[in-house]
Amino acid sequence: MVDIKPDEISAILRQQLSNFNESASLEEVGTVLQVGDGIALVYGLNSVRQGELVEFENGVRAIALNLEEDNVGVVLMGESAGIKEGSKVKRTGMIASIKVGESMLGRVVNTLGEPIDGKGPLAGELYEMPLERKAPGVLFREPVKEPLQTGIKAIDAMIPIGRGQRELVIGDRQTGKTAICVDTIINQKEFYAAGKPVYCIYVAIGQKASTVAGVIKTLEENGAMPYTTVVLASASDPAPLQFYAPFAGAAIGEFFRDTGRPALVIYDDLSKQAVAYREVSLLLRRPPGREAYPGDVFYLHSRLLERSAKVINNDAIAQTMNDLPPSIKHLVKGGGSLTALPIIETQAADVSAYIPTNVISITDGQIFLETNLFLSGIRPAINVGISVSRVGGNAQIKSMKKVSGTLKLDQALFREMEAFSKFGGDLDAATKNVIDKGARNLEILKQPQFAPYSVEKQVAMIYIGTNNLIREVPVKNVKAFEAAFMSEMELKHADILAEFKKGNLPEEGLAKMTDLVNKMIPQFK
Amino acid sequence: MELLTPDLGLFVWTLIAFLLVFVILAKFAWKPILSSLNEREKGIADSIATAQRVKSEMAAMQAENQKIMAEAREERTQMLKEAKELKDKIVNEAKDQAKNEASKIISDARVQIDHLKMAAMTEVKNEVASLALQVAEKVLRKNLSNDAEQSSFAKKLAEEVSLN
Amino acid sequence: MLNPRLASRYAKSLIDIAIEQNSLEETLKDMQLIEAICQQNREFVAMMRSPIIKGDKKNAITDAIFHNRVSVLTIKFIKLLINKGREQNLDEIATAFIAQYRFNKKIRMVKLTTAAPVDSSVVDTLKAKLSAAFEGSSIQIESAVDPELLGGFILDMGDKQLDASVLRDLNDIRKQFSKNLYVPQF
Repeated sequence: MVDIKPDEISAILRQQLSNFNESASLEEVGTVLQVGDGIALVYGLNSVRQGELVEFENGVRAIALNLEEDNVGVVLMGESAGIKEGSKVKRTGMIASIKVGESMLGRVVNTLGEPIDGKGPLAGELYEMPLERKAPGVLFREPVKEPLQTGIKAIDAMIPIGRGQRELVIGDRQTGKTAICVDTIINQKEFYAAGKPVYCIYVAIGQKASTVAGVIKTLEENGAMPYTTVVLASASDPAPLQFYAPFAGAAIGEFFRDTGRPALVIYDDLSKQAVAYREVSLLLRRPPGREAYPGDVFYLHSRLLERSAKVINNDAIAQTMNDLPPSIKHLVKGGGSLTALPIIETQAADVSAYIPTNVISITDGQIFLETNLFLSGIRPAINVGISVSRVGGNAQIKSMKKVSGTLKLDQALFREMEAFSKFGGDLDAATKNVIDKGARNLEILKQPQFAPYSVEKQVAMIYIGTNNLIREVPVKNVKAFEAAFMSEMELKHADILAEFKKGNLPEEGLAKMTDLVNKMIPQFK
Repeated sequence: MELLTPDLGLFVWTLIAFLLVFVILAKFAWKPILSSLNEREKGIADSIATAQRVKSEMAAMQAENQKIMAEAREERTQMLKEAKELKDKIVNEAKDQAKNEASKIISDARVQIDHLKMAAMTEVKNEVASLALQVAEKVLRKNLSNDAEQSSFAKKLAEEVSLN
Repeated sequence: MLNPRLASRYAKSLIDIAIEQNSLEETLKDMQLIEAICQQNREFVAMMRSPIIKGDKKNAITDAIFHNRVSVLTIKFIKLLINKGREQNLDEIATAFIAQYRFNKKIRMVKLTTAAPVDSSVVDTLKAKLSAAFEGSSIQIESAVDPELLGGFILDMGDKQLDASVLRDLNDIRKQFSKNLYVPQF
């Protein structure tokens, strides 16, 4: 514990005063022509580069976005109060970048990488990572093959996500998009405890600060903060900070990716980011296109999401990766990954709007959440029929792949049959069988919030569901059965679960499990 | 003597009657009586055998019962043991959890205190620095109050600066 | 709002025609006069910027002010500006003209701001350094005094600046003590 020492302060002052005037050097400056709405037009700054940070006299920083014949359009990253016509603007010579380091874990930072959680300055070594960086080229990538366990049965079984994948989470407001992502972060605790953490970055864009505070509290309570960084650009922050926030998140994720570790970044949400970008673009007088978004809004999202990658597991090749920031060159290792879970909020389930179609086409699959499912108690409210994962199948562990192989088709068939059965009338035995099994599977796939399932338990439960072992348990008792069965399994057959986790599906283990199920069924009739 | 010496006729008739009765009885009554007797005898023998069998079965059953009882007892102890173990485990877990929770609360509080202290310190530091700067500004203003000093200071700077 | 693009276009055309008519120096003097008037007399600028005052009225006023004081070319140029409705940019155009003239002649104007009037040795030292730094161009130093600087000087070379003032140092130090990272900000 440090005490307040007067000599400490005077030491700082002395140190500062000793290099008095040494900082005086030739600077490139410009003059503000016009300022307003978070945008300034600057005359001068003749050799400023696109995306360079500039600094105003009062310390506010800005990014040069529009380089025109005789003026430069800059977007302010802070308050525009105190900046007036004729104010001087200095070049900093730095392309917009943030300082990233291990000590960012457990912290809340803003778009500029400055901690805003009141826990003091970032400790340890920090490395400069550019906000805008080109994605790794084809040579430095590897196909997605390792699973990223979300801990959500419906996702891990039917829409599996692999490390390095970009899986869109899309749905109307209040359908549990954030909940899925937060659950995914919480589920990584298992790996953190095992010493192989998946580093998580939660980027909150344009949300209410109170909502984000709630998410942070949830993460803290569930012990997920030690491996998580939150990047916050709340609704009250200037639009440039909002639309650069995902880039800051990606820069932090890239630090972990390029140092050979898996990372997961969640952009919550990109529709608000697009809106912030539209605001800035319109203020910079760029021509509006469809829905008034600028022409490069597709590129905005594609270049961001393209930075998610599975880096080749070969240190020598990885070290030659394109556009590596010099600050981390000596730390580069292969085998890292950056998984992205962008979130898009639709209006009235309209996925054919501009931004949703854009992001759907960029990502490697999407998880659709629907209001009516949510309201009918199916939570997570995933519409399995139209949710897909284009690359995740290769990433599933073998046992899960075998067990869940038919689940998606079964559930699709069930939906169809269920719709028929609503018209009444007698059903033949086969149809009834499909409906009974489907209803139980549906029940199995329901999952409360903040209760992620480890993969071996998922395998056990889904095996029971797909093999229709609990056809005699009434639908309303399925949840109770599941809870009891899981605790029994943990208590008595931990070895079988361990085998499942390894990816094996041993015959005798399955037989033992079936016995246990049959023994337990009478209690739940 | 007449009374003692049977009359032949009477004798014959009596004999005939007797034979008649004998034949009738032999014909109709003998078999049922004999079979009922036989049946009765068999029934008695049967019941005795049954009684014996029941007795032996009872004995077997008792042995079985005893075995089951022993098993049940064993199971009970096993269950008790398991329950105890579970209880111990739960209690220990709860204890550990409580301990962890407590230490977490304490460490959280410590961190919180630390932060508050640092916040206050930083505040003081900033405040002191700003005061010091104000003083420095005044001192500088005074030191550089006349034009000659300004000139010499500016000259010194001008010689130091590099324009490349 | 300043309109550098417009100012530089008009200034360039004026320079071109002045060179063509061999009256560059004369026009330069006119422009310096106009700049000086605009700097000293706010009313003139206000009048030129006013949308209420009609063009012919402005024409009459500028005639009265500039008649016999400036060349015919300048008078014509001012009239052109008024006709095109660009008279509010007159001061800016004058400044741009002077800047372009200097650029053409390879003259570098450097503004030296000091906290108090300084003797010529300082100016000479700086001039020598500047000549060395910008070879092939002649240096003109314009001096100004701003007591706010406390000490030291600021050299302003258009798009480059050298700030060696005490004020800047104090501000630099002040900035380091402005943040308290131990207070949550959301």
